[in-house]
Amino acid sequence: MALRETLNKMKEYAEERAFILENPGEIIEDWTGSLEDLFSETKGFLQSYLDDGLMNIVEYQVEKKEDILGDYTCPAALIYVPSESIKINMRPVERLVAGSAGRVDLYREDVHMQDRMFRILRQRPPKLEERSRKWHIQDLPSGLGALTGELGELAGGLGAPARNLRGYREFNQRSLEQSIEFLVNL
Amino acid sequence: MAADSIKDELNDAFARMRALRIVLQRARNQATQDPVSERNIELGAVERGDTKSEAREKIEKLFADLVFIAEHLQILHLTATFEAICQRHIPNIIGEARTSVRGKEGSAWKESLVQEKGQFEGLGGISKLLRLGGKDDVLYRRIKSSRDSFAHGQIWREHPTIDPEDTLALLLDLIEHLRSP
Repeated sequence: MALRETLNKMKEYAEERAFILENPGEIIEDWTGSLEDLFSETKGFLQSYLDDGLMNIVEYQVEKKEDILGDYTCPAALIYVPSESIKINMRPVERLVAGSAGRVDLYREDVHMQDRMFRILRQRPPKLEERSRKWHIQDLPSGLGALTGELGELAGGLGAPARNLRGYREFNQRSLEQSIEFLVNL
Repeated sequence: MAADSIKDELNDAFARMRALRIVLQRARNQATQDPVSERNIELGAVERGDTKSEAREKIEKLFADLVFIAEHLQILHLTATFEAICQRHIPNIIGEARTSVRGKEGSAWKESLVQEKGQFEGLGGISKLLRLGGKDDVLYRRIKSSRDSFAHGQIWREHPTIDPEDTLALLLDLIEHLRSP
């Protein structure tokens, strides 16, 4: 990586940390707003299944506590497949996570295994004051849908990932449907 | 066989590995200061999306492993340096032994007792040489055993069975012994 790029990255990171420290209220507001957007988008992607009675989505509130941000309440969603009584949670984890502007986990309520869940990561906005609406979802554990380039880099940072990490792809109707299909088949 | 320069080789090997352990300690401190930093992702210690507590746990585990490896590497580097020194000087030791018996009564059979340098190759050969020289090689075998366990992948996620400082002291002592007339 060129020196300028490295230094710019360091500068951006330092500015972001400083902004978070100085504006925890704004960060929480931005985060809860982006979660509302995510769940609204999710409902849109799954609308045909909802219309056909194949699944329901219930939004609820969760209490969170994070270093720096303190206590706050944010939305979460539960996807319910009535025919098999399967509950799939879409639950915010934390806003201040490594390499991302927030994480939501998608998992079956009755299965708690790291390799049987999907991280949904919110991309950092180009500018701190802007709200990022772009999300990426972890690849299927089988490795289907692995990406290269910019999105592939999301998996393990710069350069080659040190470990065999699952990649990420854009959060859209197709990737969401594939992820839910994987979970209902567990 | 210039004693000081030989000892310097071992002391330098020890110092290099000590420096590595200090670098590791500093890197660990830096990594734990901000567990979710980009630096830790680049390091491969942390995965994108990890929370602070998840990241901290992974960093602690990684550096605990690295410290074990560095400790073993310190023993390995010291023994490898010692082995290289010995292999360079064993022919001289054998030559001196031959010279000392040559021309004396019954020298032919005495000289035949002086073995070829091939008999003393590797750490096992050095152990044999020490025993022939009347040196107790118990501690040396402990070092060799620790080194072998790590080099053969049997043990690494625990501390070496011998302390690096003790290893250095013993190897320096053995160098002195091999040099003695």
